[in-house]
Amino acid sequence: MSPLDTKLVRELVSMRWQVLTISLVVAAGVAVFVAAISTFYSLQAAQNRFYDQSRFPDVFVTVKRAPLSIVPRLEAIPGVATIEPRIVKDVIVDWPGSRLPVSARMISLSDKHGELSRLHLRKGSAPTPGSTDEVAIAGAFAEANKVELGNKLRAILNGRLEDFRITGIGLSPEYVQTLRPGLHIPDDRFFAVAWIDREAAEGAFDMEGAFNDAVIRLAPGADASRVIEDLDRVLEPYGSVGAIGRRDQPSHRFVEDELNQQKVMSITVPFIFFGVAAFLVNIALSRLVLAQREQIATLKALGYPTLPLGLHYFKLVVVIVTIGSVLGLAGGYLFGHAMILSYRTFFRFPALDFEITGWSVVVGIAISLAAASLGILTAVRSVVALKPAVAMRPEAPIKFRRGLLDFLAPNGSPRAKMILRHIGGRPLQTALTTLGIAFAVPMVVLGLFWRDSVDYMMDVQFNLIERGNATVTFPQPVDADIINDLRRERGIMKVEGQRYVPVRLRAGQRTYLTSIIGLHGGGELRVPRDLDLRPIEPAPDGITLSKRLAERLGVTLGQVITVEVMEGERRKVDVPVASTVEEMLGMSSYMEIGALNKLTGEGDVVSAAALYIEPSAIGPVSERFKSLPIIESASMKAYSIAMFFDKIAGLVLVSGAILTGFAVIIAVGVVYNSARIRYYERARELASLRVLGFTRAEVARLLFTEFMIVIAIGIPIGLVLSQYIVDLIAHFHSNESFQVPAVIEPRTFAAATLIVLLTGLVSTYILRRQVYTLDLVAVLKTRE
Amino acid sequence: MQASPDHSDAETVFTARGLSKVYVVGEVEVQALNDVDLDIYASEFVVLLGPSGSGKSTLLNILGGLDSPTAGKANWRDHDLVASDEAQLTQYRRDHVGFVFQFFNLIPSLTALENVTLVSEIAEDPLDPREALDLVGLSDRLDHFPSQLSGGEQQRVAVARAIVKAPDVLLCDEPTGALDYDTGRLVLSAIARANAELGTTMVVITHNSAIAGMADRVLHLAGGSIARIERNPHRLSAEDIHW
Repeated sequence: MSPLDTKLVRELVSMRWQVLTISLVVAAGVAVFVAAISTFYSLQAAQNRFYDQSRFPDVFVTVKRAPLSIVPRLEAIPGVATIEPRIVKDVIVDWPGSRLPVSARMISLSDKHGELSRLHLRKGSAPTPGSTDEVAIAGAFAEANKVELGNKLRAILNGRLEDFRITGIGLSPEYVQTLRPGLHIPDDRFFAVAWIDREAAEGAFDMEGAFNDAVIRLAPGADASRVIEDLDRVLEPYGSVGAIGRRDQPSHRFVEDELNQQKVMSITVPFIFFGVAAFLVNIALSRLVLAQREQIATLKALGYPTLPLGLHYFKLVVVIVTIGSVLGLAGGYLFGHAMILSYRTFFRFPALDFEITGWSVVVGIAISLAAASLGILTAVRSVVALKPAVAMRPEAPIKFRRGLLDFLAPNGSPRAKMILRHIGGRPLQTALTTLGIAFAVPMVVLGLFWRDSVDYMMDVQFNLIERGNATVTFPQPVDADIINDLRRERGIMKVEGQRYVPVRLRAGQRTYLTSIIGLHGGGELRVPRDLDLRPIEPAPDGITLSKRLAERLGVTLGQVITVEVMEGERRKVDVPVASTVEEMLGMSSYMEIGALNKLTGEGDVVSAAALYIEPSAIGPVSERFKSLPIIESASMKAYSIAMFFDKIAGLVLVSGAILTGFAVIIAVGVVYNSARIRYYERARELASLRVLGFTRAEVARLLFTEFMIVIAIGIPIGLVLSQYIVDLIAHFHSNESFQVPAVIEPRTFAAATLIVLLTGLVSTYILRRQVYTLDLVAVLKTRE
Repeated sequence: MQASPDHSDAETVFTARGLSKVYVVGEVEVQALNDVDLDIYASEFVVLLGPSGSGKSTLLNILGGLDSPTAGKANWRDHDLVASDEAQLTQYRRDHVGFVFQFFNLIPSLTALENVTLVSEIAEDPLDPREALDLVGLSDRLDHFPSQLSGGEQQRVAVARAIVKAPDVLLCDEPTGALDYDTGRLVLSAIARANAELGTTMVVITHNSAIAGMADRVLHLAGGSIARIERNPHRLSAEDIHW
């Protein structure tokens, strides 16, 4: 072994804590990077596999009622490869044990089934062809309600109660997320997807020889928008509300949004982590090299060429990065596994396993290596660039000057002056240390703020937007008198009519299928609000669009869009965009209810009602709804939203906790190494003081007070940085489904502050031992 | 060899008996001190003279409570320096000992006055820091930082810092080692003045045999033992010595 290698080994041993903490910072960066990217690709692979195996359709269309005889005409549309006509109906379910109304989407399974949107059974079997009392249900509802095979599902079909025996529990690619109609979020508990045999559906819904829904798979290379146009033309007389592509299929859109969010997270969060880790490793290593300035100079003076010297220090980097990468990969593997495990309840892909993405490993290690090498090699270069004679001399002492403090407190104690002049004496080093500590704060905040975000969304939804506790929908628009009828029901305290009109919004080439929500000015039970929590008041002379919808349609204030009503007289009306609003959930459009009814030409009608039911009467009232045929479905939106947020909170809890763990590691790395370097720089001075009679505690206090002041400056900077970083993350994470509010609660700031302070205390505690065992004799003999 | 001259009228402050120190460096044992007996008296000016490795620094370190012997006894008045723990030794240094180092070891971030004040703060009955600096002839450099002072000035600040505590003993390790002739003499006269005016016991390590002329006694160390003791009937002042 060459003497330089021996030197390396000995130094690694003697600097083991520094080596370990820097390696841990590298490890945290690599772990988060590899885990996040691999998680994204694992999810995407599972999605692709599932979509392929289950033959996820490309186009979806819903009509009022069409005869099966037109199916050949649809099949003849160029680009259509396979089509499956179905009967799909939303019904009210009498679910024992649920105080709140449960509804279900019944989907018919034809004998041809299997070619499209194949049902992936997790348990049991699909309903036997020809059976009228068998049903398979979606796993999400089954899990949320602890459903066993053989249990009964009692549904109200055309006003009659019918019992179905649950024979299977499964998953369809169309309902990876069971999004309740009208609600933009999944509802596992109160919304079931149920598959029954086609014959049973025909009988139950009076749909013999007819269908009201179809899924289509396109021929390879076919243009979806052309097919959609043709489908709409053929199906318009049958009450089509417009065919949609995958992009607008609710479950797919939601899953894609979530995947995109994961993708964004796999880029933003790790890069912030990684950036900070790289920065810290860079600083720590360059300082470590500068501490060996005289050694390097001596070796140069003895005739060592620069290259082997550089190589020597590069080996140090390789050792640190290797330790960091091994730990990081192990950590990343575990982190990724934990994330995938928590995602399994969210994305219900049948085969969702964590797989490490090869390139993320390579890139992760390469970035670490590059950052670390850059730090160490620039430092080595700065030393070898000096003439050996100059470099062998100690670095010029800091020129201390009287500072601000001397003006403020001319009689301050020498100890206080020492501390403050040291902080001010090396402004660059102090700034770097402060910045390092400052960055530890947002690391912790990043792990914790999700909880605040979710809590905030909950709070806004419950206390400001959804102020009623139930919503009922009617099968078709009905006269507004229904509102007065409902008001007379016992237990219902308040009722407000709403109008949902299915439309296609068109602006030039861009279209979007949605429902316009008609609202009364001054309504109380449902008050949509913008991001600043101001109630959204739809302008009477136009349409109000959510900002994201306006962006998608490419329109701005004052521009005119075409509203194509997809029901009734199917009018096409040009309407100006009267205002745009930023909302947390979904992409909605609003009109004043009177203006909306005028637009459709229907008079004073409503299609849904928001209710406030006296809490003690919820049971009897939802019981009563089951016997009112006018009510198509009833839901307790607030509860659905609460459950969804709970689910999200569960997801972010896992990754948040792990991120916090990594953040703590980084914080320890920064704080310990900064403290350690400060200690090295001051060791001789501190030892002199000890010889002069200062106690260990007094000397330790001198060093640590200085350090604590640096922490105290770093933390507030970190808190400000946190808000910026969270704003950035929230911006990138927001998608069509929902907008992440960049909210950081004081408790999160407090926790981050506390964690960084604690790591500071722990680091100083470790270093205290070294202060206590300072070599007092050496100091008498050595020159600075 | 008994290193106790005829000082029956003066109080003994340091007593060492059978003092030995063995350092283990790797697999080699180095006998730094070998069975040394020594008495040092109040207000005495003692110079330890000897080549490198003769044991003078080890002896000074033990007297200063910075190191402990492998065998033997060492006492400062009624303080047992061998049996004391770290905290007691610190207290001993704090209350009784002043140090002057070869390389000054001033706190670079503090001015001359502040360097001296820093130490006066931990003493029970210190001199006025300005007075201490006056004693070493630096009244006009109070507000200078070490980097703004010459080597001799820095060392005189170090002497002022050592005497501001009004210590009973001043231990100086090669106080002129890093200085040129003229500045070295200024420092020596500052040390002599402290000895004369404050009655501080002085133990000075040096390579420089000319300094021996200033001492009451000169202990010549060689190979870890006191080889010879020299007594000066007439001490020279710093101005009268030459090298």
